[in-house]
Amino acid sequence: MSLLISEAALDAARLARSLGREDLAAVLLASRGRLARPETVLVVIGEFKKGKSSLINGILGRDLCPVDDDIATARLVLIRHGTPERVIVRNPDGTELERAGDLAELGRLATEAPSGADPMQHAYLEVCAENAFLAHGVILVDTPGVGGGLSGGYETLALGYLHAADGLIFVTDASGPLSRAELEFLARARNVCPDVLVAISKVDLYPDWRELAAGDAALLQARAHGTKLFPLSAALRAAALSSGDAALNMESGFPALLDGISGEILDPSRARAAARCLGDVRAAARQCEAALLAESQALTDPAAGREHAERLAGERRRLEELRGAAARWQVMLGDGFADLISDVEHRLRVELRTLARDIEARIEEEDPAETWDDLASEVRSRMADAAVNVIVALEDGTAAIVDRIAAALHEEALGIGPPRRDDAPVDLTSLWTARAPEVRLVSESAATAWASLRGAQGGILVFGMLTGLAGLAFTTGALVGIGVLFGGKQLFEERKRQLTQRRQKARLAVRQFIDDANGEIAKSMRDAARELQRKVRDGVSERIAEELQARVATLERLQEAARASDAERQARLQQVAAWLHQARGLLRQADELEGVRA
Amino acid sequence: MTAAAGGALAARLDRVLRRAADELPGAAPELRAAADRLHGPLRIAVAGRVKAGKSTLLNALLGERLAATDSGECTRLVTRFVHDWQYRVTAVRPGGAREPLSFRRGERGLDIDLAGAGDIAEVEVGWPSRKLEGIELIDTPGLGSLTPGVSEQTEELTGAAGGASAVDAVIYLLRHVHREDTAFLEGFRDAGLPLGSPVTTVLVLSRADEIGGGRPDAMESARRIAARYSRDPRPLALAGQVIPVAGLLAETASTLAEAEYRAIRDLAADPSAAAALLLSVDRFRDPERSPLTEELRELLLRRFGLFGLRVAVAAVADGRVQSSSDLARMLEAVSGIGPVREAIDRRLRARSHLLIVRSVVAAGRQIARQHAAASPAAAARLAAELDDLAASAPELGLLEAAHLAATGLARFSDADRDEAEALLERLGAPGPVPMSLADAVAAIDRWRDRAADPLLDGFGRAAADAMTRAYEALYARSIG
Repeated sequence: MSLLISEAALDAARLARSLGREDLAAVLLASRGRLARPETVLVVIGEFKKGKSSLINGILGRDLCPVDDDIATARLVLIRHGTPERVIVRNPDGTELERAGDLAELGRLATEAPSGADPMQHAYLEVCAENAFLAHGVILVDTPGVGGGLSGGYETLALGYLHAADGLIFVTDASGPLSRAELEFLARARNVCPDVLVAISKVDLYPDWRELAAGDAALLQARAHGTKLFPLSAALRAAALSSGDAALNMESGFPALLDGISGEILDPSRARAAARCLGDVRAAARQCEAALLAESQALTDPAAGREHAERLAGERRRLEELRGAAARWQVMLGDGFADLISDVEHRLRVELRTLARDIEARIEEEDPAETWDDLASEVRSRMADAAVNVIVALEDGTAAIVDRIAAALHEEALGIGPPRRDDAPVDLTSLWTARAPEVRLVSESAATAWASLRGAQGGILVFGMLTGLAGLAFTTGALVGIGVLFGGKQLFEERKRQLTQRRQKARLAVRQFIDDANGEIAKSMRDAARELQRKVRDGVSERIAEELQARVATLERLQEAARASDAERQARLQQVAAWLHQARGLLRQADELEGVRA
Repeated sequence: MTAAAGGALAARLDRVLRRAADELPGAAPELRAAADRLHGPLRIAVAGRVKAGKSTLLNALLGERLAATDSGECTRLVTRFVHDWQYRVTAVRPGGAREPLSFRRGERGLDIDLAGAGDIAEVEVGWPSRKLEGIELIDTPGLGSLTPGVSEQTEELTGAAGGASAVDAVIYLLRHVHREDTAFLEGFRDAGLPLGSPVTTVLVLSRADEIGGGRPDAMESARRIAARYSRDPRPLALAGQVIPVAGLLAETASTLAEAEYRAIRDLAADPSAAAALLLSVDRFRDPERSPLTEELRELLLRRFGLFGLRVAVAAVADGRVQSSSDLARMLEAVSGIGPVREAIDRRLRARSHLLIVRSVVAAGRQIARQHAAASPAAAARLAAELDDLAASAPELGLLEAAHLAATGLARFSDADRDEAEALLERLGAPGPVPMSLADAVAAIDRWRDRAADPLLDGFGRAAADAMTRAYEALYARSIG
């Protein structure tokens, strides 16, 4: 199936090239490349010490991630296919900090910093490794454990990254049933990323793992998560790989997991890439068909050819105007983003003000010494929600801006009428969904196609925003851990005095934190908005350039046709008829393939 | 603390509570119940998250398989194990009414007939075991349970729900430090609850063999992790040292049967075949490969776990273990249960009178607070008498100092902290005081100066005062 689409894309690229449309050919070849290797982001999440890193090693079939009984992965690790093999330490904003050519360094770079340091102030790691599984275009993301007890921030980080993922492997182990915390996390995760596989690790150790797995399945069923469970043993997988024992490999459960990943996560991702490539083929074939029809008409009827050429020249002028910086859509774009930023900032301020009020009300009623952790984690988690809301608002706002620009462009370039999908000669919108350089198609909306924060890179952006938050500390002094066990009278006054002091400190700490976080989120938000704005501008410019190129190429051919001698004209007509036949053949093939796909 | 000294303090507290019961009719049953606790055993709850291995550890401590252990979540009712002259199981109704339940000893613990028993608040198991003399062990439902109402029982029992604590000390089982553990342990900041204080809590890193994936060096890993937790300033400073234990091995060691040893010996006859079998539980169960009957295979898996089997087979194969009693000794040593027993004896059992008095005083204060609005005069008198009693007992003050020191509130140095701990033991030891009068006087002077330090806050002063008074009491005992 994808092989046929790939062939069709190659044919279409050849046709485009013979018509002088190198730009179309390049788009088709890139699309074909993504079809062979669609970027699929697969995130591995679980409570700490449940065997996430062992699971990744099992999937990859090599000891890549460090595994230790005590020390846990403390950083986000992105693993992708690439040569030469290397580890790059990056700041949350993507700048490179350190680089190592030896993957053995990963152990040192990925594991916990000495206790006391805040692990979340650290950067993330990008690993390029040669691996057959990763060669399918998969990016595996190893996350720090959630529910670690030391900080609720990890969970937020993991969820933040999940926002950008295609699939989630949730790891639990066979030592006991899924806990309340795990089920709650799964419920939250499912809202963000619906494709969830649950892996039960360490089944080699626990005699009752079958009963446990059945119990977990029932728990998930009861919560309407029709999730598939995969019992796994990384120890057996490692033993099987080193001894080449195929039966042992089956017992390890990893072949089943790989099938599951392939069926549940990679296949949909491949299908999306296929749909997009098919769209590209169809669009290219249609452009070629239109150009060839015009040429063939000009060859047989020079008057109609001249008329057509005039029309094309007019369109070319309009498109050239649209490329200018003063074009209306450029103004709309700038204004739209300025409005969007101030709107999102305003909503953020309102949200944070409400948060501050709620927390201060709690501080008045409670003793911060007893409930500080709870208060701080509420502040952090609502702050993270606010950050994610900002991202969502940005994406929605961007989609609206793109729709407005599309409508305006349609009007300017064609005069009147709403944007139509297929038949308009200069229908910019129809191609937007299909032609999204470097950003995959995630929805029907044109905007998300090339101005979205999803995908590995978008994940890093969200991650950067949340890491910025997580790096913020509460400046509380000795607030946490104060408390008295003995209720004697002699300590009563002391306690009262200290309570007032503690409340004061807590209020100050919360206000300070919210201010810092507001600044941090607003800054990241502006960065993200700029990035989106740039993507939209580039996307629109590219589309205009492409349309322009189509007209320039057709015009050239028409002029050539006008100058040609009769003999040349005959030969030319034959050639054009042959190409037209090819273009129509491609369109038919695209329809057939679409039918098969559907 | 000598039994006599504890006895005098307890007798005085008993009088205070019983008189208050006459003056506060609304609180009479609670006050009498509190007073009755002074004459009962030290109540030690075994608590932790679901599947932390509470029942298994309890069986290991009892040396008998009484608490039911199973793959699912099995303890759903608070179950008290108390010393008795005969075997009996009693249901305690929500109102306090008691009635006997029928039971039999099953393969995996007591099989108690709860079908049709109706509404039960607690189960009490009376057992003529010497291990229960002077203490009561309480098996609790796990925290973080998915079944509504299960975890709440434990919070109720230990006072985490806001009421008074019904236990005097806690053995808390951790696997890895999880947010629910810290929330639970830190939930005990106020009003004399036994949990969360190093004085009354023994922290256990349970199922330690599983941490290292059942590899032969798994217990080494567990010890390293426990040591790191013990040093971690937060959140476990509340309860001090963490002891790693492989509960299943300890339970099996104390209840090992000859047939089990023989099965291990059969496996060890062919070490390489055994190693292949012990790759995974599924391989071990495979009837094609195993020399054992299905019944034996299942028995061994349940009783030893993969780690226990690997260790036991290796020890028999290389000749270190040559009999069932050797095997029991080896498993006991590997399990790490010894240090837990020692911690219970030294930190809890040896001070049981004091710990009971302490939690009863806290319960009394709670009652006084609750009835302050209804009968202000009587409640205030009760509170004042309890404060008097606490203030005049140097041992109680010293417990407080030890707590303030260990939690860091008193800002003691490590040496100060050790001194407080040593003093607590000295004061508790019966017989002549191993301290010269001159040393005692010097110590009194030193701590009196410390208490006068203007830079100290209320907690530091309270702790220094308590140290001074304790040395004074020692001094008085050596000249009297």
